Amino acid sequence: MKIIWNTLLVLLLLSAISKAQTLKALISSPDMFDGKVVIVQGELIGDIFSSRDGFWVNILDSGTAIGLWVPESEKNKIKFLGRYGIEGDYVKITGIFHKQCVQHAGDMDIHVSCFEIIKRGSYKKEQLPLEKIIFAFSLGIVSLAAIGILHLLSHKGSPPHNQ
Amino acid sequence: MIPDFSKDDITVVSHYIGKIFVALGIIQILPIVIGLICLEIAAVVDFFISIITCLSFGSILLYFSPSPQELNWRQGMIIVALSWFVAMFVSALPLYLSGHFECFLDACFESMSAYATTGLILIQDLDHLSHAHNIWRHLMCFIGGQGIILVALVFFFRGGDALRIYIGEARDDKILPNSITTAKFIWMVSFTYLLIGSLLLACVLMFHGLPFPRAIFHGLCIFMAGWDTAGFAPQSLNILYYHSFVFELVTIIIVLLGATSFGVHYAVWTGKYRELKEDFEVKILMFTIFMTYLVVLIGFSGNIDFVDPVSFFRYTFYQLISGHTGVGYSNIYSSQLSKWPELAIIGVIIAMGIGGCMNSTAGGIKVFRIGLFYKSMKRDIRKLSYPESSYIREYFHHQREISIDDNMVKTAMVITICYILLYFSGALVGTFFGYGFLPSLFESVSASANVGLSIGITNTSMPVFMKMWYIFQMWAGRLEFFAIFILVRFLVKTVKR
Amino acid sequence: MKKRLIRYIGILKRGIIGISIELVYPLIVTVAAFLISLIMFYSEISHR
Repeated sequence: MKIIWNTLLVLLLLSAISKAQTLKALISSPDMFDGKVVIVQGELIGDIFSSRDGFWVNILDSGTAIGLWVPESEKNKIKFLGRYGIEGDYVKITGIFHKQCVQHAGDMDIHVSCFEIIKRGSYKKEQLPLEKIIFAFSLGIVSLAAIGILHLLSHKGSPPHNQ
Repeated sequence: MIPDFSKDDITVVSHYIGKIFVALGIIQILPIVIGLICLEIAAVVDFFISIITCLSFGSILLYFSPSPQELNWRQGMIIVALSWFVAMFVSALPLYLSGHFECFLDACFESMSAYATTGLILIQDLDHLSHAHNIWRHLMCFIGGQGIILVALVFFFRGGDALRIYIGEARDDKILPNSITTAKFIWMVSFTYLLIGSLLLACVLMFHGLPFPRAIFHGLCIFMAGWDTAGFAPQSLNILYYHSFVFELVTIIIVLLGATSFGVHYAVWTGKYRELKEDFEVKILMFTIFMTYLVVLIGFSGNIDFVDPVSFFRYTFYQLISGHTGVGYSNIYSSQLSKWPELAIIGVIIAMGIGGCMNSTAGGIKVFRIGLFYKSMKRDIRKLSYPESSYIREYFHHQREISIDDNMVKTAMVITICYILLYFSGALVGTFFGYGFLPSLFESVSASANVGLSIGITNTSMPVFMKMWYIFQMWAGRLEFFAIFILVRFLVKTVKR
Repeated sequence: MKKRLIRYIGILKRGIIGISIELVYPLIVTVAAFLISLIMFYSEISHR
């Protein structure tokens, strides 16, 4: 049984468009790729949503994202999901693209069959430019001084302030 | 003779704008707290800069414009119009400092879109935005939906002044005799639903395996933007991100409640359950939802490109209800929406144009005015079919039985015409810049009626003038024109001097 | 503060049925819309 599945998978892969597709191309002309095997690359982002026999994860490629439906067995491969301060795992996936997935109430998705991590994600160090800190600091001091002076002046009564 | 604008007006206006500055500064402490909890130091610095700016400007204005006498209507209106504009600039500051915007105008677009509860976005790489900034984006939706002034109202304003300002923010439905108590009631309803809604959404997400902190973060963000019909989401995929039909159903409940008038909420909460069935506005809302949905469905006839009835319903109804209530959440890509049949798109445009209930957080012409036209037309037809001497009255039920008078219809008519002009102005601007008329109209109505659905026009590369025009449309659409007319008159008169 | 909270809970107690009704009414709208779309879908399919 396993051999049959593997052969099928190889056949599917052979029929696939061997060059990786951009997500933008998939989304702007879904009819062209509907039901076909596609290869896409991108960063895994956000969260993992469990579903029956699998899970959802979203992949981001140059500003465009799409949902991937991945078999449960691949879950352990994912270590980093992209969000603030985290660069998600960069993956190359092969799977069947559905313009409207019958299994998932019409979602536009990719059912992943092959999941390959190209670059492991990592924690990013926060970018905090020194100029910004100096600016914030000096702004704080100047403003506090200004507010203090105004407060003193208003207590002296010129101009009148009833606050 | 009508007294013209004087120096007093400027003093009064700058005094209250000073208060708004301070209020906005205080509110930004919340994202700072979130930033500290999540250890997002860069974000905390951004908000620190913004808070200091707000407080300094506020203090300077308050110092130079001492506490004024009681406000008049005109001043109230100017304060509202100006404070929304000021709020846009200062709230854009932390967003811009985050580095997720190409230019300051884009950040202003985003903050006006949030305040006016529109939901069109120009942010880049939203998926890597800090929690503090993300909470700020959604908090702005929440503040804007309730009314920026309404936020300040509870802290800063006196009774009489409050009413004048409250009405300026297109909230002329007095639920309770006093506008402060009305404001408090509105906050009570909103916070109660914030609790229920966020928990409900978080539960759905936890069912899908999200850990509690992530689930509650998403739940909170989606609720704040959904209840206030803004349509922001913490991820670039919007509602598509969640891949859950149940989650979408919960958002439908939230947005429909958000688009229902606070008057109805008040009645139902105080035991008058029948009000939900009898209120004329709710009836008209139901009617227009079904009618526009029918237009969308007919638009698809002969061209149903859906795999099963569930997905047909899921995608068509979601865009429709999202447009009608003015939330702008979307569970399809804008490129998919642009491929819809023209009639279906027109159906959504009509729904967006109509909008939700008066005194809710929804935008658009509002179903109340549509209902008023229907009733007044009915009255006129009846008048013509009876003897000339007979006196015909027409009533509608809106918290109580109200008889229609010509003045009411006239005011509604003026605002409706203004909306229609605003819708078409944006369509013309879009067409001028080379977009198709129907997509331009769609995007324009979406901006003016504070919806936020996009057919693909709104992006960072669109012409600068269009961005500015959309900002104006969002602003004018949210405040229902009058405050802006008075502000323009005030500015013209001041310059002439 | 405590007094306020008690008053608020008092209002909520009265409004609890109201809130439940309010939560149900959007569901009714959704179900009705679903039925319409269902009729539309099947009448379309049968015409093909």
